[in-house]
Amino acid sequence: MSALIELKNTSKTFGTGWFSRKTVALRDFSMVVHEDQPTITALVGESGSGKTTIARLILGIIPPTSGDVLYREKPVSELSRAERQQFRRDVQVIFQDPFEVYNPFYKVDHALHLPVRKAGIAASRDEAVEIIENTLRQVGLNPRDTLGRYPHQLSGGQRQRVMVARALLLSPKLIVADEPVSMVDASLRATILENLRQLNTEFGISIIYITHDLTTAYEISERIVVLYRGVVAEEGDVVPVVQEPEHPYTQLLIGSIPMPDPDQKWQQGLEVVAPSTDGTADTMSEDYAGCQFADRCPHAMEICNQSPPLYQTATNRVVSCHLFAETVDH
Amino acid sequence: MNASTSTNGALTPALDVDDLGVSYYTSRGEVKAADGVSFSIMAGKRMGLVGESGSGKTTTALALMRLIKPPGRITKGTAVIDGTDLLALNDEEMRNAKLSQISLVPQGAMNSLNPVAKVKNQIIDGIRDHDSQMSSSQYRELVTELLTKVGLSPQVGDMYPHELSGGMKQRVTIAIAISMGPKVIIADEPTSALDVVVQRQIMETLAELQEELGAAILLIGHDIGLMAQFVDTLGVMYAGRLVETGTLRQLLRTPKHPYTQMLIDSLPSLEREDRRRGDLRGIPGTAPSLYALPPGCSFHPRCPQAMDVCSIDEPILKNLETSDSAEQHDQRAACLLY
Repeated sequence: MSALIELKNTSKTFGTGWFSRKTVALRDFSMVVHEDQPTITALVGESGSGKTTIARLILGIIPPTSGDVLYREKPVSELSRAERQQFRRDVQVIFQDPFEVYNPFYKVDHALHLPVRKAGIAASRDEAVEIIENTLRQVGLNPRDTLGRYPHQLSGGQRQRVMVARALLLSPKLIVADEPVSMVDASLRATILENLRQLNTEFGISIIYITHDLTTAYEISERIVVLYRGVVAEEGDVVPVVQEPEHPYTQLLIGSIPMPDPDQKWQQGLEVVAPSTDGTADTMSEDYAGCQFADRCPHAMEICNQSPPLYQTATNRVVSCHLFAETVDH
Repeated sequence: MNASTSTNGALTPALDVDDLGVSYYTSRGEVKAADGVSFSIMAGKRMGLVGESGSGKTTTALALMRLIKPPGRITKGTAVIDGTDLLALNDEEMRNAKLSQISLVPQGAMNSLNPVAKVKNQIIDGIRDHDSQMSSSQYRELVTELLTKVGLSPQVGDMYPHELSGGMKQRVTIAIAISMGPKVIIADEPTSALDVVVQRQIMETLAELQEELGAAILLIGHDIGLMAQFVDTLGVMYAGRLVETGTLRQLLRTPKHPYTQMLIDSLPSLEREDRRRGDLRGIPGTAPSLYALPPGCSFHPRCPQAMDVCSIDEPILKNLETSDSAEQHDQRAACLLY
C-alpha cells in the first residue's frame, strides 16, 4: 500500500511569541491517505479544533512548524516542478462558502476552464468544453443551465455543485472538502453529500470531509477523527465511535447533538462543565503540556496535567485519554 | 428539559397572529416576503418556525417586533397579545410594548450588542426606557439578578462585549430580553453560531426562564434537530407562506405537506444504521425567486405529487381530519392534496 498523502507528527504554531503568545493550532498530528484504498474520513471539531489547519497543511497552503507533510513519500516543500504539477492535480479542494470562491466578473466557465488549461488535459478548446460538460453532468447539473452564466445567476446549491465538478475535473485521488454544506440549505445538503459519496464510490476518490456537524459526518464517512483544541481526542471507524464514544469530549459532543426526533431528547444526566472564559488561550499556548480537555472534563484527575498519548482501545481505534491507560497496553 | 411539562396557560393564546403580510417595494416590483401568515401560541408554550433562507421566517419575526424597515412594509394582518394588536400601535405605544409585552433574542449576539458600552449599561438601557423611577442601587440589584438568572456571574456587568465568549454574549441578550418579563419572546436562531455543547446549555437556560415567566416563545430557525429538542408546536414556511403547522410530533412523524415530508426525509440521523449507507435524498430544484413566484402553489415545480390543478389554484392552510383532540392542536397544511 502506497501512501498518497501522509502527515507525520505534524504541528502548526501561529504567532511569533514576541508580542503575543504563540498559539498551537495543531499538535503532533498523524494521518495517512492510501492511494489504492479510497475512503471518506471525517475531521470533526468545533472552531479552533485545528481541522481547517489540517486541510491547509494537506493542500500545501501552509508549511508545518514541525513534522512532515508527505506526497508520495516526499515532503510537499521539496517536490520538483513536475511532481508539484501532479500533486496539484491529485489533491483538490472544495471550500465552505460557495459565494466567495468565484470571481464575480467572470462567468462560471472561467473557473472550470482554468484548471483544464493549467493542467493541460485537453488538446483543443472543443475537447475542454466536452470534458467540462461531462463533468457537470456527473454531478447532476445540466451544462446548458450552468455554462455561460455569472456566479450570481446560480443558486447557492448550484454554485457549490459547480465547485464539486471543478474538483472532479482533473481526476484527483483526494478531495479535501472543508465544510462544504454548512452554508447550504437543508434541502440541498443531502444532495451535495450524495454527490461527494458518489465521487468516492464511483470514481474511487478519497475524501477528507471537514465539518463541525457530527450527523453528516456519520452519514457519509467511514473513518472519523474527533479533534479538540488542536489534538486528536478520538479516532476510529465511524459507527463504533459515534455509537459508543470513549473520550469524555466525544461523549459530551454526541450527547449534545439535537436529534430531529420527538422521542430522542437531549441525553439527561450528562455532566456539562462550561469552558473557562480564558481557557482557550491557556491550553493552546506553547508551554501548556496537559490534556486539552482537562478544564472541562468531569473525570479530570491529577495525571491530566500531562498530555495523554493515543491509547489503542480496539482495532483501528485510538483515544487520547488517561482513563484508558490501564485497560490497554500502549 | 421536557417540553410537555411546560406550564399550561389559559386557553386564550399569548400571541395570535392572523393573515400577516410583509412586502418589500423595489424597482423590480413588489416582493411578498411574508404572505397570509397565521398562527397562535398559548402562554407557556414554545412554537418553532422553520424554513430555508428567504422563506420569510425572519421577516415574520421582525414584523412582530415592528422592525421592518423601508422599502419593506407590513401590508396586512394582526398580531394580538393580551387584546392589543401590536401591528396597530403607534411608535410610542410599540416602544412601551417592547420588552414588557414582546422581546427579541437576536441572531448573532456578537453584532447586536454595543461594543463600546458595558454589559450592565446595555441591560439597564432597555429598562430605563420604561421605568425611569428606579434608583441606581435598584438598577444594580436588577442587573445582578438578571445576570445570575442567565447563568453569568454579576462581574460580567462591568465587562465589555469583546471580553465575552459567543455563548456568554448570547446569555446577555437573553438577560435583556427577559428583563421586563415579556409575555412573548421571539428567538431568531439564537445559537446558530455556537457549537452544539454551548447551544444546548443556552437553550436549556432559555427554557427554564421561559417556564419561570410563563411566557410563550417563538423560535425561528432552520435546524429541525434543535426544534425537536425545544418546541411544542412547529410551523413550516416556504416562499413567504406557512405551508404546514401542527404539534412537533405530528410534523416529524406524519408530515402532510410534500415539502415538509421531503424536508424531514433529508435530515441526517445517527440512529438509522440501515439508512446510513442508503441514498441521501435532497429536494430537487431550488426555492423560487420571490420576484417571480410560480402560479398556483409555489412548491409545485419541485413537488413529486404535483397535479395539473396545482399550477392554477393557490392552496390555503386548512385543518386536516387527522388531528387528535387530546393535544388540542390541529395539524394544518396548505396543499391541494387535502
